Order: sequence, then structure tokens, then C-alpha cells
Amino acid sequence: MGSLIHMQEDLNNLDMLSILQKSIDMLMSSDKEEDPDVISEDSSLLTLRIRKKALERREETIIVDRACRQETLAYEMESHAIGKRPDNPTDIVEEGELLLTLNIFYPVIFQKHKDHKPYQTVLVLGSQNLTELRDSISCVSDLQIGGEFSSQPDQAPEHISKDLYKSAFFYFEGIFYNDRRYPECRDLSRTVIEWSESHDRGYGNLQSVKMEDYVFNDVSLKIGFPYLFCHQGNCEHIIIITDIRLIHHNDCLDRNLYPLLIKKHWLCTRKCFVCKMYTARWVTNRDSLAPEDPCFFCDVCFRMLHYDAEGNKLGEFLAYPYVDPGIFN
Amino acid sequence: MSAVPGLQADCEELLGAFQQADTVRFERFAELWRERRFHTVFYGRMRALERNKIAKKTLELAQQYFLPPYAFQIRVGALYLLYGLYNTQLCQPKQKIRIALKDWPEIQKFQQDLIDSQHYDAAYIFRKLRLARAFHFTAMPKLLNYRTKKKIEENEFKEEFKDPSNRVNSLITNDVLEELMNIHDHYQKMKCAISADKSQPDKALSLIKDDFVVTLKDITLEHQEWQQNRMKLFLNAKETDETENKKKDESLLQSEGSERASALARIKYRSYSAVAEASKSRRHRQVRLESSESGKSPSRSRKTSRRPQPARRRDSPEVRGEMEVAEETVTRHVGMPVITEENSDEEEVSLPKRKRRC
Repeated sequence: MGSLIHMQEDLNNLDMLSILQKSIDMLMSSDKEEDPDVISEDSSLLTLRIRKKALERREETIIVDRACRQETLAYEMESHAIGKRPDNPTDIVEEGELLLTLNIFYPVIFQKHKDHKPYQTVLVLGSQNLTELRDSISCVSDLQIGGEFSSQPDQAPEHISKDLYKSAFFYFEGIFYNDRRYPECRDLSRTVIEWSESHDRGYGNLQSVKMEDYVFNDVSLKIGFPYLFCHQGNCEHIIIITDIRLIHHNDCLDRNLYPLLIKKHWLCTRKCFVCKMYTARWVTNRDSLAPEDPCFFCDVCFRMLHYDAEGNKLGEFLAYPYVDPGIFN
Repeated sequence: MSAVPGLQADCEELLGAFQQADTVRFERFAELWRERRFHTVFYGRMRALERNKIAKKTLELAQQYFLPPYAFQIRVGALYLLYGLYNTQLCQPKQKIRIALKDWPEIQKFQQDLIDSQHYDAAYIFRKLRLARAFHFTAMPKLLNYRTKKKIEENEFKEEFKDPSNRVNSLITNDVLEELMNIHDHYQKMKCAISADKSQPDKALSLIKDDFVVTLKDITLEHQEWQQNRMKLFLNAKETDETENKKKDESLLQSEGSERASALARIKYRSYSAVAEASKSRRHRQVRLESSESGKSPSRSRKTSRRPQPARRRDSPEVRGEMEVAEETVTRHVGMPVITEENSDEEEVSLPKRKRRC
């Protein structure tokens, strides 16, 4: 009892094909001179009439209409890897591979980010290990150097936090995937699991497993649901999976380029207080020579202001190496 | 993502015109497309990033019409529309059409339907899209993004585009009716087998209406016809000029209302003859009894339904006449047990013109 419309027209197959081809050609514009940038005055489409008004308004209000660097960056990131093929044929992504799109939010909390938190978007293959994603996440807290170095500015240690605190975990659907590749890595999730088991808090069975044993195809996930990535003990990033789809001919098929960053939030870097040109590398507290607390300096200005020609410390202050979140721009 | 302003109106206008043309031939669609110069929907000076975004949103909008619950003709129109939009977009490389996993079996069924009904042009267009690798096979239909929206936009699509087939039709299918018939026959035979007279079941065993399967089928057919008529009326009413034919519209819709009333009345009238069949939802309905016309079994009576709708008294016979449907007749030879229900109000409502139809 369906309501199929039965057309009793009998079409000869060959005739039909030629009619069909003619109709298909009819869809495109035959007028090669048409300029897609120009919307004609008498357009029958509402979309175009509205768009034309919007464009005219833009022309009136914007003095110079060109892509700002953020837009250029965004477009480049989105499209730079499209269609890429690997040099080595063994690195090719196979048909049937899954492609996941993840939004990884920054842990940074600025007032202006109240409404929408900044995030980066990463493409990941289903057959990739979780550790590959973990390694690709670049967070400024990994680069922090702990310690006060006002007395020995040249001896800021080589070790960054990333090397010192290697533990990390992902939390997906009740399972903590801990990074246990190095002996220094600890099970950060143990605290959480113990806490949830201590009383009947209503959380189901939380498990802890090794991150390196799992690929994304093995992980059970919900799309749109917030998950967690935690490293450095207390630096937490929310992860949301926005899309899962099959790999496509037009995608980047070079396995080495994955996880692929396709979108990044542009964070303004803090500049040196003195020259206002270079990105800040030092921050001082309780500095008698500085007008505000805390105060940011680039390396050159910092040394010029706080140390004399022999390298002696001038004045009282505390100095810490500073890594700006915008360093990844 | 926020919608492209004006796009929904344009697409619906095109699909509406295609529906009016009452055909599924691609030629016709191409003519309509060409008339409107639809390929210009991507025009306008914009940079690559924005162009990609707009193309993506356009394809997403058109894709929604490609899936159920839209009518077959609309879905074919949407297929053609997708083909047109995919090929005339200005992005390099082209933006793809997202199809969710859950929708894929529906689409395959749709393609099979196209081939079975010999709409080879539509099937060819679909194959061309597949070969052009125009689809992204995704887990979920909509790509998520994270901006807090001030208000949630709701897409309300036109009612006319929706397929009129509905739950009644999907519940009472041919298979169901056939099975009911079989069970009914079997039941009758069982009754005969245990009765004294082997050719006829005992009067004491008669608890159901014999022709209920036939009746059920009639009712469903009538319902479907009514729906189609209503659809047509609705479309006609929309088409006619508002200022001129307002009254005509009103009377059309009015008579539609009374048609509906009479049709419903008739359906209920028939179904009320079968006590056992009265659905639970209708228990509350007031019913009144009438003695049997034929007088064959004076101890039993048939039930007639009274519609508790004094406002609808204008369901006049001339309107009812329009709804003649060819129906089968089956001899009734059993009556119903007597059941009285309380309703003092119902005494007033009388519809003497209503005749019981066999």
C-alpha cells in the first residue's frame, strides 16, 4: 500500500540515455562567460537576493576586504593535507579505514572564553594507537620549566615538564587508558578509581588499562560526549569526538601525517613589557625594577634590565621562565 | 551550523514545482532547474573558506529531503537536486554529501525501488553520484560544532512534502490481512467441528462479526483514500488565489471537515457492530443500541454508533455521497449480545438520516 507514483512511460534505453545526457548538461551553465562572483540583478533565487544585499553592505562598511592572517591560517590548516599521498606505498591508508574528528579543548581559562572555549581539531585514524594521539597533543604546560632562576638565569635547565612528568591518561566511557610506556609513568587514574569505589557514588565500574595496548577501533565512544585527557597530574583537556566516517579518496592518505591537526585556535601571545615586540620568556614577581607584578620580559630585555655587564643580579626579584600559550601559533 | 538564509525557501520552491509537475523524469527536473538558473545559488564574491562552508551547508540541507519521511516524488527530486548541487558547486575539491550509517539501508531500498519501477534515469543519476565518490559515509548525519546558540533553530519542513502513508497503512498491511483471514477461516472451521451441525457453527458460539476482515480492509482503504483526497484538497486550497476564492476555500475545507466527519462516522458505525473488536480506546465512547432491521433474531440486536458531536450535524447525505467506495458484501447471520451503556445525553442526538449499510 505504498504511494509509489507509477510512471507508465516506456522509454527506449538508448533514447533515454541521450535525453539524460542532454538534461545533465542543462544543469550546468552553458555560458562560459559567466562570472561566479557577480550576482545578477534579476535573480529568481531568494538566497542570491539576500546574499547580494549582504555583500553590498559589506562593501560599504569594510575598507579593505581581504583575508586576515587568522583566516588564512584556518584555511591552510583545513586544506593543506587534502589529497596527499605518501612517498612510501606501505604508508598508505587503506580503504575502509575509519577517520575520527576530535576536538581537544585548551585547559587555559580566560574570561573571554566564557561562551565558547577554544579548541584544536585533530583527525585520527581508527587503526592508530592512543599513544600516537597523546604524543601529538601539544600543550603549553608540557613546556613549563619549574623553578626560580633569578640568580642563575643562564642555567635554566634543559628539562621541560614533558620530560619530567610523563604520565597521562585518557578517559573514555568508564575506562581510563593510562600511558605506561616509561617507568616514570604512574597510574594517575588510581586516585579517581579509589575515590569512586570508596563510597557508593553511583559511578559504574571504572577500569584502568594501558594506553599503548589500544587503538581507536577498540575503544567504545560516543559522538558529542565530553571525555578527558589528563597529563602533568593536573592539566586536563576535554576531548569531544565530533565525527566518525569512512576514509575517502580525497582525504590525506599518508599515514605518517596522522594525527592531523586541521584547526587551531589562535591565541595572542603576551609581549615583552619593554620592547613590546618579542614574545615574553620571563616573568618576574616582587620585582623592584618592574612597574607591575607579575611582569613579562623577553630574554634580551630581561637580562639588560636585571643584570649588569658582568652578569650580577641587580635589585630584588624572583624570576621564572615563562612559556606563552600562544607559542604554538 | 547556522543556515544559509533563503536557501530552504528556494529548495522547497523547486521541489514543490517538481511535485506539481507530477513526474519523476530527470528531464523535467532539469528544465525546472534551468528555468531558475539554480546553479547560481553558489555565486557571490567570497573567499575559499566561506565558499566551502556554504557549499557544505547547502548539501546538508538538500540531503535532508532525500530521506524518509518524505514522499517518493520529493525524494527523487532531492536526489536530482543533490546531483545538481554537487556538480555545480565551485569548491575545489568538491564538498561531499554526508550519509549516516542508519540511513544507508533506506537509501539502498530506495534505489532498488527505483530500479523495480523502471525509473532508470533516477537510478542512473544515483549511480553517477556513487561513481563520482560524492558521499561521505558517516556515523551520524550532522557534523557537530560547538558554538552556544542563542536559540535552537528548528527546521520545519513543509507538510505537503511528507509521505501520506502512515501508521494505519503500516499496521494493516496485506500480509496482516491475509493472516487474519486465515486465522478467521480456521476459527470458523473449529467452531463448526465442535458444533452439533457440522456445516454451521452453533449460535451460542457466535461471538464475533464474521466479515470483520473484509470490513477492516474496507476501512483502511477508505482511510487511505480520505488521506489522499485531503492532501489534494489541501494543495488545491493553497493554490487558489486567496482574495478571490477565500469562500470557496472555506467551503472546501468545511466540506472536507464534514466529509471527514461522515467518513469517520461510517468507519465507527461499522466497527461498532463488532463488540469484541471495539478497541480499548473506544470503550468510553457512548453507544446506543438499535433493534435489528431484518428481524431475523429478535432476541439479539445490533449496535449502532452515535457520534457525540452535535456540532457536526451538517454531514448531509450529498456530501456523504462523494465518498462512495466499492465494498464487498457479506451475509451477516449472527447478531450481537445486548449491552446497554449509560448515557442520558445521547438520547438527544439522533441522526435519522443515517442508514445502516451492508
